[in-house]
Amino acid sequence: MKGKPIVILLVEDDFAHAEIVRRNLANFPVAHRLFHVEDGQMALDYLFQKNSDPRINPRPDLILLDLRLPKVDGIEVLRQIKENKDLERIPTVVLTTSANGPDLAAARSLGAMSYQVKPANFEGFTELMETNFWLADVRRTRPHE
Amino acid sequence: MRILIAEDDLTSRAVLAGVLKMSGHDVVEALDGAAAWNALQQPDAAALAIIDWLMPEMNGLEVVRRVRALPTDHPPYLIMLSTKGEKSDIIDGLQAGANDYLAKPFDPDELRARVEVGRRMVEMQTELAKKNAEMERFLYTASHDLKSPVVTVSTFLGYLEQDMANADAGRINKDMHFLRLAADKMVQLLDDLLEVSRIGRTASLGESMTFPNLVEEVLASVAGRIAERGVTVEVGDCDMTLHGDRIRLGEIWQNLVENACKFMGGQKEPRIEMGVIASGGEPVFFVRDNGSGIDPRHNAKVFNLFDKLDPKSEGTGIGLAIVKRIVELYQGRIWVESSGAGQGTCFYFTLPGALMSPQKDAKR
Repeated sequence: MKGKPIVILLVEDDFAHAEIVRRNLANFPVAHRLFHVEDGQMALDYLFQKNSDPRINPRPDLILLDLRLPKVDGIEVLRQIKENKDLERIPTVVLTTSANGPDLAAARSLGAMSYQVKPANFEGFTELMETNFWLADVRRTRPHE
Repeated sequence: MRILIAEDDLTSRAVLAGVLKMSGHDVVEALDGAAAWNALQQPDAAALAIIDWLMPEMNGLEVVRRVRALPTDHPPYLIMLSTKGEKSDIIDGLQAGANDYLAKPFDPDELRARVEVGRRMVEMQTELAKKNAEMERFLYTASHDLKSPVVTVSTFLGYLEQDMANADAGRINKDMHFLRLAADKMVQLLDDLLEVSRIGRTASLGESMTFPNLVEEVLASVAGRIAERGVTVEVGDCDMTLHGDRIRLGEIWQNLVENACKFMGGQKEPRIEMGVIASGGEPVFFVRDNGSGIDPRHNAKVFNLFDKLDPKSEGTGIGLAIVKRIVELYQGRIWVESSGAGQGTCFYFTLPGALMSPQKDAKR
């Protein structure tokens, strides 16, 4: 994977879980920049902010989204991402503590790329990242750029 | 209530429909067994059905059997109607799944009384299904939120192991920090869950108390909080009498006042007003503050269990969930109004169940 580092937006209100993602990514041999927001409203503000400086809030190539979030929950964030034609192509990975909850089913029907059940061991996380980094890399190569 | 009458005999059907309509029921008619079976399979089927035994196409017993084999959360209440008055027939009907049995020719008063029993059963069943769904949601949320700190503990134990092998003191300290926070969080969540589970149980006998009296007690219990934050409290004039569990009712105001104190933001002259207003013919209680306010987009979430608008605020997000449950225990509603961030917040709630006089034990 060449060129610019991959931009990842992490939406996670639990600081320990954010630290887990950070550590897993640090061991992952792909250049990336991680942006961390703590609730669903901040995620929407980040993604939909008009005229914001792309150097400060660059459009992410990959979104890691917790489902249970303060203010606006993850399902709503995902819904708004998938309804927007610029954002819907960004691979979105759902982070969840349970593999069979109703919210995960909702996330899948909305078009989440894949999901990671916490706790994410490094192998599982690596596999997930490989697939989605590859996708992110392909998808960000837009013709008009 | 919607009632299905399945009866091929015109006279009998007309009399049944007449009596039930007079009692204010909404009546649907089926002229044979097949039509009744079809009607009872619809998603909006009647909750109570009176089914004649002898009908063309399909007899009543078969209709009852088929309805009982349907998978549903809301099985209808079925009353068999027949001239077949033999004891063995009644037993056959009940064994096929009928709830009750009425012999033809029927007495209108008996019909009304039996339908009333059915209505009570259906209501109870609906209430139970609602409670069950609520309990399921509650369990899901609680187990999800309890799992979070466990995920942290198990993952950081793995990190700790690696970091100890590498003798990385800085990382070990950081790992321990996250482990401690997760354990504290777990304890707090479990304490709060216990607290919520206690709400349904009454803490004290039902009694009468005046609103000023109750508020005075509440304010005394949170005096520390109020003084610490320098809040001025104003209580409106009202001599209303409330009936119920003094401790639970007090917890409504206690949690709302604590919540207001917690979210005063940078307010230099923090103030809380409480009182009662009449709105739409019923008394509506309010607790208003001039604190940091709530973004109206997030109004609906504030009462959810373990939902916090600000992840950095203290507590687990249980206070308002408790308030909502107690209000609902007294058949009330609660809602919040705020013009937005920095504009203060006002919680409104009704308590119809606490306004009625306690029922006299006259029948004993």
